[in-house]
Amino acid sequence: MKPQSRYIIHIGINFVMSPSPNITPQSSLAFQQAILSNGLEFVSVTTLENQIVLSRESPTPLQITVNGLNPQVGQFLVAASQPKRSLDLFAQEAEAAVKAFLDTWPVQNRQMLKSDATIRELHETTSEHAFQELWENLLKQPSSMLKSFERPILGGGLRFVMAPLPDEQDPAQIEVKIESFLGDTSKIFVETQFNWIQPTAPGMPFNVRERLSQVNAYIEKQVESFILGGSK
Amino acid sequence: MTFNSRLALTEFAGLFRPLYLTSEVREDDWGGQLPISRQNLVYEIESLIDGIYATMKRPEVVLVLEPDLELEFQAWESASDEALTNFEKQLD
Repeated sequence: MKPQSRYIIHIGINFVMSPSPNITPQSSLAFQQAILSNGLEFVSVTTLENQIVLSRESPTPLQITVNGLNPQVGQFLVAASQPKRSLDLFAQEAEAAVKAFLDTWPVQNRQMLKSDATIRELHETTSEHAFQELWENLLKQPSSMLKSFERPILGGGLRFVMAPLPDEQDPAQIEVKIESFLGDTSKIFVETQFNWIQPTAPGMPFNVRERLSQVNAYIEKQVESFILGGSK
Repeated sequence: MTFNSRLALTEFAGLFRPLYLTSEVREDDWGGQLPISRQNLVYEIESLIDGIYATMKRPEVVLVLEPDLELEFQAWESASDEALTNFEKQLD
């Protein structure tokens, strides 16, 4: 893998909270106004009975979703496919979206029940085929072993699910997928997801940047080190 | 919804699946790698490396009729047949 070839194709961050935001036509309009006031743009709005989705595709894709799951539990999700911007800029926009959310639904003792963040990315390989690189270079397995399948190998990969550390303050389960990219076999696809499972104390802030930075740091240090065979 | 051989597992997993969206939403068109049963794509081999690793031509999208839409067409079809039969009976 060429470490400098990292290309992010998806960023998403999600918060599940209590109480639920009260979604009405009025609060939907107020949220749209708050989004604009906080410097974000959108071109499409979908307001359903318990859901608001604001989105745009250009100049940079962004989707903001507010979901009222039931009277007690709601969620707030910000995601971008083909982000076309740095993680830092995405975090800045997600923070602005959070500010708009808090302006629209101010609650003193809001509690985060759980949250998750996902980053998907592609990397160039140094082998002819991405799965060949994973199988032979990383896992040191002979290609002859794959002949058991009696089929050409289009692609494949690894999936790791990791438990929180025993003394972790904000425990997170981590899932990492490292696969050859089916759409282009010269690229390695990496998906890293953090799932923070412990509810926070009431009134704690949405820690968008901290969470995204934690995922990114894990990719840059641990995940890339693994893909490079522990050489990083 | 497209049905496939993963459905039973998906339904089972649904028992434990939260009702909310997650940050990896829209895996299909947001750069995720769906199982092949959920892709309407044909992967054609372009070249074979070491007789094992296949590189692919750009996958072509294959349009497949959604099963519920297909059922609807079948329902219309059978309804039309029934209507025709009834009409013919009236002629008798």
